[in-house]
Amino acid sequence: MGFNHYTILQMLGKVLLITGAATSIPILVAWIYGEEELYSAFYLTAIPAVILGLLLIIGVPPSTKAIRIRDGFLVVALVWILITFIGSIPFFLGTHMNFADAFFEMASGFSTTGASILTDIEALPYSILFWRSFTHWLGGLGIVIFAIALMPHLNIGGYNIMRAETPGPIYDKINPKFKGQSRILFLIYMILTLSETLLLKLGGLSWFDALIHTFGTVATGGFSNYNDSLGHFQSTYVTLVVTLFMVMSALNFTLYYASMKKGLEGFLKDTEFKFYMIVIVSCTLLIALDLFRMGYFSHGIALRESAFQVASIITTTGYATTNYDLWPTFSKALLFGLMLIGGCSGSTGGGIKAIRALIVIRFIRRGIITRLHPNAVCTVRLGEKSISGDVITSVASFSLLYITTVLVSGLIVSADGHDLVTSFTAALACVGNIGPGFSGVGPVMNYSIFSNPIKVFLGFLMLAGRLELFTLFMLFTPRFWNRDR
Amino acid sequence: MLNWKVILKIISVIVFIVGISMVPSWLVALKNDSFWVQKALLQSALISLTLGGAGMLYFKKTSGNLLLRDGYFVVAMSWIVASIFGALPYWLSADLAHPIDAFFESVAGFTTTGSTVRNVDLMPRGLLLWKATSNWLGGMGILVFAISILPALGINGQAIVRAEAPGPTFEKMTARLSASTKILYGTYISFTLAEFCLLYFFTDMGAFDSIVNTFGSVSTGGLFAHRQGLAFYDSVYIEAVIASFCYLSSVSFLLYFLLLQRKWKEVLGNRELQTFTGIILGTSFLIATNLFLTGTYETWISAFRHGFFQVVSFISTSGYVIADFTKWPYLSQALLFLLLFIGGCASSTAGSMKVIRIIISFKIMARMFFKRLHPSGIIAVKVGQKPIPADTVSKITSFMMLYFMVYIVSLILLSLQNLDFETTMGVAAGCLSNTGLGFGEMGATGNYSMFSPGLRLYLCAMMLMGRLELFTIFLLFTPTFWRNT
Repeated sequence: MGFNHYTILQMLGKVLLITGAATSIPILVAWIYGEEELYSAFYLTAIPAVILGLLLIIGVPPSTKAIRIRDGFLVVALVWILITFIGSIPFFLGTHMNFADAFFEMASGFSTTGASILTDIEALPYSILFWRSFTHWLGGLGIVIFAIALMPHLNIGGYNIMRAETPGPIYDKINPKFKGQSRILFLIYMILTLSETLLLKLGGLSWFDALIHTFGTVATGGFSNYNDSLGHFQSTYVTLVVTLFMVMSALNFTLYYASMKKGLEGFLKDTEFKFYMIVIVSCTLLIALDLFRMGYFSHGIALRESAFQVASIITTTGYATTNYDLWPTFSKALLFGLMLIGGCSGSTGGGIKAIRALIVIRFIRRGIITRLHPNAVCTVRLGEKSISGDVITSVASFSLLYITTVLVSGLIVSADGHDLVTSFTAALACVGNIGPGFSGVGPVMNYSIFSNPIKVFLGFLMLAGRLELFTLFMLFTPRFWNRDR
Repeated sequence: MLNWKVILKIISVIVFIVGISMVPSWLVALKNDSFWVQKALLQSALISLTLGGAGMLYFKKTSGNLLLRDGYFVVAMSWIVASIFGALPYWLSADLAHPIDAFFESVAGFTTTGSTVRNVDLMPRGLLLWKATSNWLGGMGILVFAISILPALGINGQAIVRAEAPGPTFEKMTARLSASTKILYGTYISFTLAEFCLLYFFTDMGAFDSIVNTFGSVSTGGLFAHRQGLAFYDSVYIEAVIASFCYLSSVSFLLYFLLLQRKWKEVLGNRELQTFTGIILGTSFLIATNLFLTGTYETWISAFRHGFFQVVSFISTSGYVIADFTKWPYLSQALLFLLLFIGGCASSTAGSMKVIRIIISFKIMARMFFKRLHPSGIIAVKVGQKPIPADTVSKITSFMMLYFMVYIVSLILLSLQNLDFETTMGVAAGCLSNTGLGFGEMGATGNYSMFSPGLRLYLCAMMLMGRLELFTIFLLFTPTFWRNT
């Protein structure tokens, strides 16, 4: 059972072509802002990438063999690693970043994490800033298209959890549903992007600022072009718009599709949506109360800041309007809990995903009951659906792997000698694609404090987190490369 | 319906035992302490003996079977009632004026946590001995709970014990339960005697300190006889003895039974024992190297001495201190932090998640890698050559999930105290695992006096939850438990 090399190369060719084409867009920005010296940084990336992509598409004979699961894992992992490397080239050429920094920044971009090693973001040229945020948007799009529409069987983004179908070992090269579904998802993504850009523009932002922050929001990334992130604007309107769009981008995209047919009921009948909203609203209220009680803000502002920060963290965006690291510990602990949950399945958000968290809670409840009634048969239910044992095993294993990854990575990061909170929240913020953590990696800090090997490691963690761990870790298991097994 | 009569009978016996156990402490107090302490210990002993004795007489003729539900209830109630009666001496002597503080001290004793809320320097000797005695009783209790009571419970007790502690079970080895219980007591008491002799005859710490340290280590409670912990003695011999007995008490007591039968191969081939020992040696080596390279200690030997002892203290959840590890490099601290989540072997006096569960979790994760590649493939989770039944795997997974969830929720609740994040993180892990140590502000002191009375009560709940493997306590809060069926 070897790999389907031809198809893999074909796909990589297409991705190279698209990424190469995307790299030429910042040239436009450079032209607008008169940054002639940066043209070369982008076309030296774009042209080879496009040529190589075309060569692969034309040169590799089309294969009629089906794509197997193994190929799927390899393609997805290679794609994210490849685009991260391509994306870093303009940073090499245009700024004076070393490899570790550029890799970290681009892994953070494409994985929609939003963690940065830059100490002075505003010093960067416009075209580079644009490219940096644009990778968020591309990464978000990649997740939507790749994970949800093209390869649902890899179960990235938890999209498959609620689908009853049992994934067969082999599936068609072109999923018949792919074209229709991916078009709709793409459309939803575009609509979110355009409407937020317009709304932000109406709020008085320049087109450039509006676009940058839209990219950061709809991809739940979190890159900004200002050192003080969204705090730069000091505008309630902007805060509210971004809060709203962060939450909307972290909802299951297929719900929008469902609501086209069924109206609002499409949302309200969804268990994950209800759970997500309950968590957001209750945490917002608790944190607002805590901030108000401790005298941080007046009640209106406390509510606004709390809603924004809760949305920013749970959707794994990672924008900040204030330094939440200075907030009372209770608020911080709640935010820490939210970091673990992450977005909804089938969205651009990272983390464990709301639906998995919900299934884990139900699973624990069943665990309690079966201890009392060892012989009782008790199913885990979600809404009206009962969850199969296979799905529970899968969700539980994933959650275990997630926690283990965070703990072990935190340990590795601590080798750099930063305090426990910094080390462990840095690992969590990277695996969960959030961006900021607490203490040394808090919202006003950045990842420049780490050594180069740790930066590369964290960059890798971001990609691993984005591809839901199994996909990337799989490449490190001997079984994966053993063609007989 | 719960079988109240039998339950009350068992609890009366426990109260009676608590009463008897207070007598030695009273005798010590007669010689060393103030009139108030003597009076309090005598009063408490008399109250416990009277109430317990009265209960025993009243329910003398009661007999009957305990169902699973009764069993869980009895276990939870035993610890709670024992802690309430055990709190009387602290409270009546006005050593701890607040009833919650007295209760905390008592719970810390019976759950073998060994932490304290006392601010002032040293406890009166009688009370200190009482706390050490409660450590010892708690350690014995947990062995009885894990090895004798659970399997003896009603219909399917055997299944529970297998779920909670996969590996050899006692029933298979001895025909009658009482025989196995005797061996268990025998082992525990011989350890106690052996350690006492090693400490009393070969050092000059005196009988009192020897007893307190012996009780603290065989129960993995880790009670300090002096404020500086074991650093007070500064003796490699004492550290070695205590570390050895912490280690021996964190190994599954079932293995000693096998040893008695001279089944060397089975003991040495035990996966849990191998892993446990491997973790201890591996982390000690890492920490020692880290401490040496960072110059925390001048020689590698000295670094290893401190590293090894602290590792054993953390993984056995005893919580002894020979150095202020909060001043150590963060890599070493992160390693110690992770050890808090591992704990000792199943069927031992150690707390936390237990090594066997960690092993099985890793197997579960490894299996998922296989399952992702071969979605319809079937593969069992194996420890050694033994496949673990799916039901057990599910129970272990739900336990792990619940443990992490309780940890996060506790972190959020404890953060209400508004201590810094690192301290809160450490306290939650230290308390739930019955170690009693933490990081940051609280660090190596094991002193919880910084928490408000309400949170002290919650900390008591955490210690009890951790000690009784979570589910025992959680069951009491489910509606199914109280439903009449």
